[in-house]
Amino acid sequence: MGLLASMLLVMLGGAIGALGRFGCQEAAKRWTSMPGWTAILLVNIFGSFLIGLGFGVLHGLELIDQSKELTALQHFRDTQSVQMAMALFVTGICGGYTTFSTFSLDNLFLLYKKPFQLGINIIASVVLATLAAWGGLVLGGAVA
Amino acid sequence: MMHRFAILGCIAIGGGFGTLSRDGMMALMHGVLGLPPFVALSIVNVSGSLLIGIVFARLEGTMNRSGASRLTDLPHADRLNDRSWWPDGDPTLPAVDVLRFGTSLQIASALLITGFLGAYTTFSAFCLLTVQLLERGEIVNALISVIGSISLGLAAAWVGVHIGCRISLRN
Repeated sequence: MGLLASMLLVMLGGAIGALGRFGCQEAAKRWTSMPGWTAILLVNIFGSFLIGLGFGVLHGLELIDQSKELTALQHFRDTQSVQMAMALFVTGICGGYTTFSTFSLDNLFLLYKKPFQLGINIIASVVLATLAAWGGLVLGGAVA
Repeated sequence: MMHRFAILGCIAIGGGFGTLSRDGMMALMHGVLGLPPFVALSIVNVSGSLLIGIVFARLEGTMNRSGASRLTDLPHADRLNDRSWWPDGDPTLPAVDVLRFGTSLQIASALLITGFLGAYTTFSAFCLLTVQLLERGEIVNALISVIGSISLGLAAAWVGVHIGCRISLRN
């Protein structure tokens, strides 16, 4: 895959992901009275599920492609499209949708204001998001 | 209305460049320098946390408009409080300028914080790498990655806010 094409796909995915995160944050602020950090927590858990699902499906497709008897051109085209989907969805959309920097900044505020919620945020983020990624990976592998 | 579109556009532009920078940094540190992916991603996430602290303190410190800055929730802001550079605390500042500060704060924060730094760092790939490390049985590496990223990220945000306040004071 061309370097330029992959860069454009990553940028497009990142823009979509960042807009999605902003939309979720604003929606949480407007329609619910949750504290600000819970919106990022939910975004991170959901994004981790999506990355597991996407990576599971795409990785499964890649493995199938390699095991099939394909002409050189077909093989090339198929792995190309898997790589492009990987750049757009996994690196771009899921990577741009979830965030670590805002999570760290939220943790800093919680550290001074509400240390108990800091513990909840860290443990919930790590445990639930890792479980979500694992669940997505298993589900995606089963689908592909 | 235009203002809203400008903010969405800034988030999209920032998000695009942030994701591209992450991909480039990963390619540099994993592909060229040969660091394991979880170390490379931790460096990206911790450096993003440092930068968000600097940018946040700088923006809130110089352009805060409502008097209810989140920066005052942190002890870092104590040393800034006896200064009168908060635009809001300046009675001679015309209302138009206060409004202008507010708009540029929103635009800059959309571009840099929500857009660029939000997309530069990632939580989903971090979790995916943790799952992959656990599946391969590298439990020690997974623990180093998780505990290291989160504690260093928090420390980096703390240092970043300090640096941001320092820069704001100097100007």
